[in-house]
Amino acid sequence: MKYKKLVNLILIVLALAIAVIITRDFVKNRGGKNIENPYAFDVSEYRKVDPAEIIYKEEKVLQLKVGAPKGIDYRNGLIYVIADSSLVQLNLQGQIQNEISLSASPTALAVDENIWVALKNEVVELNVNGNEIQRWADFGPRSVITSLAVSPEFVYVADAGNRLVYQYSHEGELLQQIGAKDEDKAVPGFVVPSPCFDVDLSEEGYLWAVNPGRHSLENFNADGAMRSSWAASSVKTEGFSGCCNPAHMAIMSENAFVTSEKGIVRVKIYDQHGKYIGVVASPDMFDENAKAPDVCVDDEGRVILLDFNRKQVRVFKPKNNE
Amino acid sequence: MNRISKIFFSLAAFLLSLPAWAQQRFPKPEFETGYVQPATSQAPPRALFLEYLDVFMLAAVLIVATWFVVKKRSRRGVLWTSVFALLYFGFYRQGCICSIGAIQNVTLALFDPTYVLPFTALLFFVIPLVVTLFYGRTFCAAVCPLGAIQDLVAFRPIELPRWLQKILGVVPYLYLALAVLYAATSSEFLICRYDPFVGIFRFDAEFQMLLLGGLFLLVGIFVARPYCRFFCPYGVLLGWMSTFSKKHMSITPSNCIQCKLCANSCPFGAIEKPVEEQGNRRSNVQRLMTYLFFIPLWIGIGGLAGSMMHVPLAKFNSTVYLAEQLVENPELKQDQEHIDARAFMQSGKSMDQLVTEAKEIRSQFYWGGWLVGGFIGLVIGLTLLKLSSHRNRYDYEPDKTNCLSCGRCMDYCPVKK
Repeated sequence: MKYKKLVNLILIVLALAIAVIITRDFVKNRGGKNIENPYAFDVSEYRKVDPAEIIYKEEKVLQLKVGAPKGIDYRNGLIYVIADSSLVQLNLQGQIQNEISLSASPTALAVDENIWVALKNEVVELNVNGNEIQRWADFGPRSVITSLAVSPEFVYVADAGNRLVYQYSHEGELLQQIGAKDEDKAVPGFVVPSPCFDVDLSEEGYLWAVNPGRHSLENFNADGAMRSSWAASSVKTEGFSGCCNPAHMAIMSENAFVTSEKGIVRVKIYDQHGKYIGVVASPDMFDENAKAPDVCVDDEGRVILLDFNRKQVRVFKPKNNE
Repeated sequence: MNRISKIFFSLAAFLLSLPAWAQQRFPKPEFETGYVQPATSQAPPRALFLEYLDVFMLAAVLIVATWFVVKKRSRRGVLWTSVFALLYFGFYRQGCICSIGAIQNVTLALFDPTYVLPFTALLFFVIPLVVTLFYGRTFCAAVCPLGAIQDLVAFRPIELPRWLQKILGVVPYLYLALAVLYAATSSEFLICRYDPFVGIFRFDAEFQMLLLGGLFLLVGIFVARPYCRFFCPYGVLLGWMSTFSKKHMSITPSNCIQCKLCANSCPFGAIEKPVEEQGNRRSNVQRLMTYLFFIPLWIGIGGLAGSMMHVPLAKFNSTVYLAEQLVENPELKQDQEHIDARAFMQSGKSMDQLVTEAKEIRSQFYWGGWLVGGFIGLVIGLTLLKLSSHRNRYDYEPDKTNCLSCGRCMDYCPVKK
């Protein structure tokens, strides 16, 4: 008798469970409901970084009082940040040294003795006080300037819209276009699916350009011929993944590279040959769905990040400096 | 089944279900040595000759099962045939194509002239019905993989109270009616969506569907074949056919000695006991006539109730639901996360067109609601009529409508010749 009661009880519970599952599914998973994508690529595992691989630690955070930061550079103890329609100069303690108004919203920045600013599709040279020295003719409606690099001889302009790097003289004369696909010269061409296209100069003054669609960095002679390149395509920490990475890049001493990635946001160091060295900032140090931070380096090997989401300048120093 | 067989089947079922829990936790490995990822491609449809091979297998297994049931009278033969069917139609063919789901294909073909019904689907629908019309539900006994998997776990079947069986017995009719309604309005293939065992056959399903299958199997330990008896919409059609079957299996090959062993052996409560008419015949006939008289009333009440339900029923059509959402919340049109709204905006249709379509579908549900409700009313009326009618019976006989021809009663019957 007891057994029968128990069985009846179990059956009632099971029958109710069946009814609940069917009803719940019928009501919940009907057309038009936003259901979870069963084919979503779960990359959460790749957001985890072995602590042993993190070779930098965050030293300081400088909070910016700007609306929308756009880019960062460093020179001679000063941090230059472009944001909204202005250029801000800070020292490493976060004190504002100067603020210069710009005629439009800037998109890229490079600093030598003067300040070079890109305003979407034109380049402006300013002196340190913000006075305009020269303004070049605009690059056309397709142009989206995402990065600038200045050597003593040339100004390099990365144009994500036209997938080219322009080599200019300091006087604004276009010398050549670099990176157009040329099978004879074994130049694969830049693959730039999004406005993430960065350039920088090595210690010797050679141009390095990110080829984000190929997850590679490419090195060019002053005459535009490709010297070398390296690529690291992988979802794992030691590589680049997604449509277009690294999103930003800077070259530090001994020609090592600091790279910044979007998607799985992380900042890493590679040596001059492209060998993975370690992590500066792991994905858990950024907000969820954060943008890839812009990067630059100071004279002491510190990595300076511009965190677009938190509107902060974040300074990281090597752990072995302690 | 002896104890070893039970342990074997339990273990086999457990091991076979294990891969269903597996999931891809990490993406496929990356190759850094020039390997080029192949382009994503869709699997080609099953070759036509293989589709006909399935039909051939259905016919062959059906013939073998019928032979074991009707001619050979072998429970063991039926059991092993069902194991084969489970392996072939269940695990190898992964539960598709199946006769139960073919109801929807046939319905859609009848109501949607743009839908081309595969001939093999038609055969899967028709062949078991034709065989059942002559020999009873031998398809349920040993050919249907859904029945087979449940039959193997019926370790401790108990007899449900008669009244509960009658009430639950209405569910398959309701399920059939709703499945036809949703297929006819091109809204949903309900039977496929809630097939509790297909996830187990495919080793792949959402957790809740695997849970549903597991629950049905758990219930099946005590209530033999719960899906077949209280859900299966195809069972309704087979039951109708079987009622008229001329060569349905008999419990005993000669004279019944009324030992009752067969009644105790049937886990489905599908054996009719000997009965003589009780009470006054005149009053019995009067009661029967009263129930007969009330059938149109049942149909009317059911139809009215069904038609009143047409608005909530139509909500489960994606077009109607989308129209309702966009009318109530126009801002959803710009919601990029809302897949249906985005698809609608990209289609170039106007809101007026969408609303007109939705109204048309709702109108179909209104008339469909009348038919579904009327059908259920008819089923209730006929069930009451059957309960009140008496037919003198002198031996233990299978209830042709509900007997699944599993052969257990033949096995238990001491009369062998």
